[in-house]
Amino acid sequence: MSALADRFAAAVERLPGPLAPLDEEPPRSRRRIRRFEAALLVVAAIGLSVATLHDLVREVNLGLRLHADLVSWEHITGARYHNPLIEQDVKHYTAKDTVCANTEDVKPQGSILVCLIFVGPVRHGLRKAVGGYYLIAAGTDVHEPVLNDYEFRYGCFGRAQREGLCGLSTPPPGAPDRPLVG
Amino acid sequence: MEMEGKGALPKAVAASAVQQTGVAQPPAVGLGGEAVGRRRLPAEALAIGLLCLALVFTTGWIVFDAAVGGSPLLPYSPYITGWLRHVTDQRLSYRIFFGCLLGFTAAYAALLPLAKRIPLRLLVGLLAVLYILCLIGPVLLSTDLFSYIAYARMGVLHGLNPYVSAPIEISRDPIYPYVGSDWIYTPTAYGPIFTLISYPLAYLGVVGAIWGFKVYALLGCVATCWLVWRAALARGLDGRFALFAFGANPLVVIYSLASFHNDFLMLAVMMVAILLALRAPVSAEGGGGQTEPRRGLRNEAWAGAALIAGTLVKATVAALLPFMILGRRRLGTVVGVAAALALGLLAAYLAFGVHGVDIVSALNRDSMYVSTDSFATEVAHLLGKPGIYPIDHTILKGVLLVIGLYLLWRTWRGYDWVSASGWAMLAITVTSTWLLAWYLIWPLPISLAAKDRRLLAATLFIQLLFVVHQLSPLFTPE
Repeated sequence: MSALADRFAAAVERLPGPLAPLDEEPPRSRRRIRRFEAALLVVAAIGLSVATLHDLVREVNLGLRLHADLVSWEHITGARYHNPLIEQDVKHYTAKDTVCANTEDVKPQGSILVCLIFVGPVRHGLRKAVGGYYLIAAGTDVHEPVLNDYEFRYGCFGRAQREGLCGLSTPPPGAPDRPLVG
Repeated sequence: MEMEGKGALPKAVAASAVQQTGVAQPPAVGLGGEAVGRRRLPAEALAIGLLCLALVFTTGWIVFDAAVGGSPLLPYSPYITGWLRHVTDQRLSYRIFFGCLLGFTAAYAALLPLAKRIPLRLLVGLLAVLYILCLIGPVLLSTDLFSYIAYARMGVLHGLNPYVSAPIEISRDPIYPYVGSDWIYTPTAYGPIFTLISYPLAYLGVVGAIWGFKVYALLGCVATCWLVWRAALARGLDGRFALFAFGANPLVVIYSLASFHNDFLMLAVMMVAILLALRAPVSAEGGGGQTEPRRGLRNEAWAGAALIAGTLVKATVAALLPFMILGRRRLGTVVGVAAALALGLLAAYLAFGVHGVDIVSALNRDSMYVSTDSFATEVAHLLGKPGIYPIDHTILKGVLLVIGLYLLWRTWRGYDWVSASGWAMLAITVTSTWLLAWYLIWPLPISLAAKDRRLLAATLFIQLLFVVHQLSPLFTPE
């Protein structure tokens, strides 16, 4: 086995010129390569630092906006939020957010959530609601997300009504049906 | 910063280094290159003590607050820390967690330059306290541990193949509610060795299995610490620095150990492979030539086999394989790799069928995921894009391929294969669209055994960027 290993090593060492493997880097080419690599690493480090800081600022602004959404939801409904579900506008990437939440501490599945649509900038920690609807949380599995889908919405008003977001014309029996915003 | 002029050490100093560690190592050297005396300045000793206390204090704060439960930083999990709840009645908030993370990171950064001068007993004691604190606390930040248990229970108690079935198929099992929503439809992506060693824990019940996997993670972390220490010494580097830099790293302690990830098992086996390779006498390693050919051949074969074993714990370790083979250029490595691969794949096939040996499809599946913490996502946002598109995955794979080929060429032409492996691991994490904190510890142990010290600086820098990116909750209301 040892002799075979020696023959294998010798065969590798016999490769010609620039293809030949080296045990150590030649000092001169090593210095040149290191300078090149150092330049690349510095550029990469600067690029990643800028991207990280930019994203940190973006996330802070996003966090402030979503917090304002939740505070505004409580301000308008007069209730504390439970099981909040915030949907952002992932189609057009505007600052429009839809906040759905329970007004009581219940299991989200099978309950009715109150949804409000917020747009515009944060002013005094609040955002402007331009519409909303009720949402029936379907499903029984704890892993199943609440689906904010057309067929589970009713009681649309404001922008939600104009955009035809509600698929249910009448509320299900026992569900709240009074207008969200007078 | 490779070790140079080792032969010129004064005999007395070198002898003292051998006496302390049992292995020849360079003496402690100050920043200006001057030898540091045995006596430490009182101010320095005080600083070391206070900084060590800061590490313990911040970890303890996180663990005891988390033990109260009801924190958004805790995954939904069985309440196993009731006996700690009287320590404090404060729940772990984002602000406390990230404040402590920042404090821990600052103390770690301040201690790094002093690490060579931390007394060994203090260092080992510090790591022991940090690790015990993590062990007794709840599972933080991640539901992965519950996925490990689900896959084990699927195999052992439900007769399902975890490489084919997903946790949704055991929706009546008591572990099911704790599995993360993202993973209930996903068969296991872990290697067959990890799956097999997880099977016995399925018999312990849900809570027993949680403690079992906690112990696995702890043992893996301790083993990796010891192997990092040995590998650094084998390279003529400072073992104490390496031990501290890995063992007290914030992403190791607060993110990876406190969430009990199996990455530690992967890293331990990977470091066994590196250590065995470093101890095999090959001229490129500056070892003893071919004085012990049989032992060298054996070590090379075992190193190759260990690397395959690591790959069968978690497939990422495979990234080291071409660098080890090209860097060593020894038949023993190839023989060890081939034998272990044949044996491992046969065992995986017998245990799990053809799906158990299909590591590539699991890697392909995972590489398509996107996390908000990935650098790729950050760059996409910087460029005004809302996120990662399919074309970006292709571009990133291309970039990774170019980096890999460049590193292979460098290795062939004499560059340190351990350093090249570490750069490759770092490149995988930086170009990955699915980046999690525990992935960023992969290159760290390699960087501490690498001759190219730029790798360590780059790894720590990337980790720092990750920590900075985590801090947005500090600037927004709770």
